Order: sequence, then structure tokens, then C-alpha cells
Amino acid sequence: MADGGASTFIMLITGLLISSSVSALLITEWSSTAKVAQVQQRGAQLDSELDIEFAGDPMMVDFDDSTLPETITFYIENSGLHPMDESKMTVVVDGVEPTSVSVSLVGTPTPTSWVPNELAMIVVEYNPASGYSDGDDVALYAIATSEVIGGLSSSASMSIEVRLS
Amino acid sequence: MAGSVGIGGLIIGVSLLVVFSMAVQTMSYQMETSIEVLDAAADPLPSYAIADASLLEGAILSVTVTGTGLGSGVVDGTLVANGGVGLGGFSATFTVSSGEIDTNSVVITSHGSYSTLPTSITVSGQGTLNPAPTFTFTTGNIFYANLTNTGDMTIKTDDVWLFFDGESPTKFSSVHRDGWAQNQATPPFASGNWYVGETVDLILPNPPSLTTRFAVTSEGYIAAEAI
Repeated sequence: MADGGASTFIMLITGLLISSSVSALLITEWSSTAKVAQVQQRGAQLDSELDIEFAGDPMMVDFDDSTLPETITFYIENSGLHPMDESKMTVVVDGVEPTSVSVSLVGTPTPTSWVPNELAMIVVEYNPASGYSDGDDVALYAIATSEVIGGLSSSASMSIEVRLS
Repeated sequence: MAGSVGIGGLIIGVSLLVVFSMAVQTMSYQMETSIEVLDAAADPLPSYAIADASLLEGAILSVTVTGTGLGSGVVDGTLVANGGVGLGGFSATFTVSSGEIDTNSVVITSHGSYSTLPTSITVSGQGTLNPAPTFTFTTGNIFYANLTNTGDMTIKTDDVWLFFDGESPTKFSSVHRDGWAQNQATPPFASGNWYVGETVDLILPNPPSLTTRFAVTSEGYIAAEAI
């Protein structure tokens, strides 16, 4: 009987120790999970607050093939709530990267950063010739990265089919 | 005894882990859903329409009185453009004060449009005035458009961009002024708020190069009109 009482007591103590350890582990993990969730939430919120949109006339996107390099010029508006980094932009035309892409901000005086509601002018260059001509419809795709906001950065993209003129 | 306690502990532990993972997953779903809902509710999109847009070439933009006609018997009246070819249509009014034309009274009521510009502007219908009042004028192109906010939110004109033939992006707020049709003096900038249902007149002397289309964009919403 005494042996049975001792073993039960040992089992009880062991159970308490294990459950305490598991509780401590769960609390620690929960804290970590909450932190990760918070970062994810901020990231998701930042995602929802970033946007870029084509600006201009989709039926009249400037195409200059008079000399090489040929150029396509169009505009993108920062329609989100945070500044974007215009130097970190990738542009694809009909799924193909052009020879080069230059980005500049529009306005007088020229904005120093791509803040919300401001335009960036995108000049896409082709050398050798692109094979496009006036009246062709092309698919533009652009993706831009935001400035670092609260230690986080995310991206926004836009796609549209336009007519060259 | 010891075995059953161990198995019981294992079952409880696994149950706790399942509950824990479900709680984490639920929290994640709730977070995503709440952000999507908040995003959709807090971000209405602008909507507007271009009722008409036209470019008048060879318009008379301003008229200056250089001879007031003092002592000529001139009375309040209208002005006429002479020698122009094209659609025509220029008209303006003036008033007389102390027997001479008030130099600040000329109001252009129609800028007209001429392929060959008028050679002079004179007083209409008052015979030969001596000394004759004299007028100088400037000419150029003038762009008209009527835009209506058809959405359910007030639009800031600072957030609206105008495009002429797909180029020359111009902020609406930088060219939207009050009262061009009523006064030759450069009027003040119009309100920066474009209210729901409001139709605003855009009158833009000497617009950027424009031959084909006029487009207005804001936050991805695009309206365009052939000229």
C-alpha cells in the first residue's frame, strides 16, 4: 500500500512537472506566434495600402519608332497610401523585358519621391527594334516596391492592355 | 496505473496542441478577413464622366482697351471682330463710365474660333465714333470640357490628372479656375473639392498640344473623350 502511495505520488509530481513544462512551452510559443501574427498583420495591412495604376489614355500610348532605340512612354500613378520606390520597378511588355527601362517623376517642381497621387513617367526602350508599329495593342505589366515603412516593404503591380500611337 | 496516466496525459497534450493550432489558424483567417473588409470599406473609387470636350483654334483670348473713345458719344455696348475667317463667333460687352469706355469692363462672352485671325475689334452698331475707341487683342487656342462627378465620393482635384493626346500630364487642380467666361482677369483657382453630382467647367487657354483625345485619370479610373 505504501509502495502504491509512493508511486502514485511520484506519478503526480512527474505529471505536474510535465504539464508545467508543456504550459511554459505553449505560453512561449503563443507569444512567438502572436508576434509573428502581428508582423503578418502589419504586412497584410501594408499590402492593402499599396497600389499603382496606369494613368493616361490607354488608346493613345506614345510609341516612337522614328529612331533607335524605339521608345514606349507611359505613366503610372501611385494610387496607394505610401511612397513607392521608383528605382525598384520592373516593366514587362507582352511578357518580355525590353532592352531598358527608365523611370522619372512628373511634376513642377519635380517631386523628390514617388508619393501618393503623383505620376512616374516610364520610358521603355528597344534596341534592336521591337517589331511594334502604331496601332498595335500591347500588354503592359509593371511591379513596384514601396519604400521601407516601419521596417516593412511590399510591392504593388498593375497590368493593362493599351494601343500604341 | 502509470500507463493509463501517461496515455491520458498524451491525449490531453495532443488535444491541447490541436486546440492551439486551430486557435492560431482562426486568428490568421480572422485577421485576413478583417483587413479585406476594412480595405474594401475604406477605399471607394472615384467615378466621373466627360460630358463634352472641344478645342477652339484661333480664339480671341483677351481684349485690352487702348483708346477709350472719350468724347465720342460711346455708350454701353458690344464688340465685334472684323476680318476673320472661320467659325467666328467672337462677342464681348463693355460699359461706359464718364463718357469713356471703362478699361476694366470688357467681358468676353464668346471667344470665337478663326482659321484666319480677325484684323481688328471695334464697337458694334454705334456708327462712326470720333475719336474711335481702340482695342488690342491676343489670340490662341482654348480648350473646353465639362466634367461630372458621377461617383459617391468627393474627389480631390489634386488627385486627378488630365492627359492631352495621351501626353502632357497636368494636375486638374493646377488648371481649374473659376469664372473664365465672366472675366478676362486670371481668376483664382477653383475649389479643390469636386462634389458628388457636380459638373465643373474646365476652360484652358493655350492648352498642351492636342488634336485627338482628352483623358482624365484618377486612382485607376479613366474617362476619355474624342476632341
